[in-house]
Amino acid sequence: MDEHNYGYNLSISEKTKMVPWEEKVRVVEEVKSDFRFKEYLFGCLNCGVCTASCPSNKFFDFSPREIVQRFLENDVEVLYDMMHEYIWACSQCFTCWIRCPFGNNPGGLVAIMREVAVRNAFEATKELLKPYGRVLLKVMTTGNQLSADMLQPDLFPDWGPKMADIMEDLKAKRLAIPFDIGKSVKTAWEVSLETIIELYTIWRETGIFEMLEKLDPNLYNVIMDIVEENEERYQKLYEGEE
Amino acid sequence: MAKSVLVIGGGPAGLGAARILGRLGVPTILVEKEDRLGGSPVLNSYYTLIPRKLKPEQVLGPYIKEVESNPNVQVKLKTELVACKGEPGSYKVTLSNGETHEVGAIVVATGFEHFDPRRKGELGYGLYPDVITNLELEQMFSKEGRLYRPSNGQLPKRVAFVFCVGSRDRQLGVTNVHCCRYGCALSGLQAMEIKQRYPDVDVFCYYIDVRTYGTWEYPFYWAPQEQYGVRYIRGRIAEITYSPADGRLRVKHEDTIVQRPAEVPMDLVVLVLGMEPSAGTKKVAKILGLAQDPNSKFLIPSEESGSNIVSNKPGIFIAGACKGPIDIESSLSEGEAAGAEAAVFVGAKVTV
Repeated sequence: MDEHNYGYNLSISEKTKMVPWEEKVRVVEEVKSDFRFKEYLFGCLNCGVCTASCPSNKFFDFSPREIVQRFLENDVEVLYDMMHEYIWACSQCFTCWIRCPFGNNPGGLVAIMREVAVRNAFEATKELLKPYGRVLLKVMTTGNQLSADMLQPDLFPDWGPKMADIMEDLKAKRLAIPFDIGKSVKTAWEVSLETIIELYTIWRETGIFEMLEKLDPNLYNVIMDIVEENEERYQKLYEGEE
Repeated sequence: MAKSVLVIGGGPAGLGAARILGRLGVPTILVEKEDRLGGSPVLNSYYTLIPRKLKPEQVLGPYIKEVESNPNVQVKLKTELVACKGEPGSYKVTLSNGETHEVGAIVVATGFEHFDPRRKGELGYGLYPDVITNLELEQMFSKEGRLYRPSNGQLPKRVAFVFCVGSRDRQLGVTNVHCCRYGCALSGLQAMEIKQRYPDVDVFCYYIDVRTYGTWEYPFYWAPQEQYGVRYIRGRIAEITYSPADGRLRVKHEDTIVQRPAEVPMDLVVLVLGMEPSAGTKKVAKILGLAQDPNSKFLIPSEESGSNIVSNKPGIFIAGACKGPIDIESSLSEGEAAGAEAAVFVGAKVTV
């Protein structure tokens, strides 16, 4: 995607320019018609508290204030363009929301924009979700993608140098904790069948499966195989009880 | 009909009311909960007052002296209103010292209190000694006569004023969405006072808007920049941290005019405090049944009257900071207007 220096040097990507105006309006209206939208956007005095508090702003070309301002201006062109790359730099920490003197929720606006981008199967979201195929597979089929023991410091260099020492001899340290946490370490992967079936019901009712089918048909097929298998298992179990 | 008037509060507005009532020959009872008259400027040792750059004793001294010596005015210190019964024109009031009086009219001048900046935890007040309030800066000048960093007693090299602390902020709830009105002008004055004494100290004002309205614009906004080199940077301070490496504070903000986020070192940070209705104002509103703003809880004038000192209760007049943020000279004027209205209400035969 092209550079997006929205401030004074407005530069809209070529891809966005080629999209028909009506389509851009439709997508932005889809964001604005979300039931949360009116609770996330009030007024703005451009005080900059959100952007000054924003951890992503330190590292990326991303400003929550700019998102709020573009919505207040109803700048369809920029908003549509932002949904392809710009908004994906947000870390969803919601410090902007905690600090905004107006009570705006720029992080929440980003969440809606992301959902609309995924629902509309934007090319950018496909690209962005590619590295998360394994995570999606695990979360969607079992509801859980990590067990405590998987968190190893050599996989997370951003934890800093002291973490390796802290993580040493975890078994002994866990035993020292005066209540039983050993259980959750072992059973992180073992989600009960009832829970899994409930999860699939939620995915189905909220249109998550359909969304995934549009985004990544291959991953969708793999996941649906597992889903059907589990559902069959549950069915048999249920019939047996009857 | 009772001919005397009760004035509640001995700050600028209450003094204004009591002095004009005394001058007009109306028997007046002035109750003040603290042990001396003068209100916040005196009790909190303000240094110089906006907009005329006079000392509290120059502005309020003559009022206090006259109120205390006028035989028409009975001053009752360490005294509060506890109950009120009766009809407009003859209110039966009970005071905390056990006295009861029948008064024809009441002037409410119960004032404000400063915002407690501990409620904005990200600004580090109470955590870092070099984060102080503008009230503490006033007292540094008025009591100690010098500027210093509380952490080490040294003269700061860089001083920042953080505007709108406890004002215009929905994060604190609907109670603090109003503007404090005085902060921009007072900060301009305090910044100039620093530069006058210590020309080498760099002073920065972090603002969202600068509201030195009316005739205050030139002396409290242009003069600090043009004559003293005070720097105005647009952006609300998001957080204040401390760096042990150099022992200095860091203020974090986005310069929303040149669009650059920044974290800059400061030696002293001054929080410009908002104004809230005082506990006394809220209490008196309940006792007298006065209308309050649903958000801020400041007293509001009668909807039927165009005058802003006429309350929703006949014979009760409201003046000064109990109605919302206000400067000291306007408080005095409102008190005087309320006093005159009260004199008319009780049908006093004016002796001039």
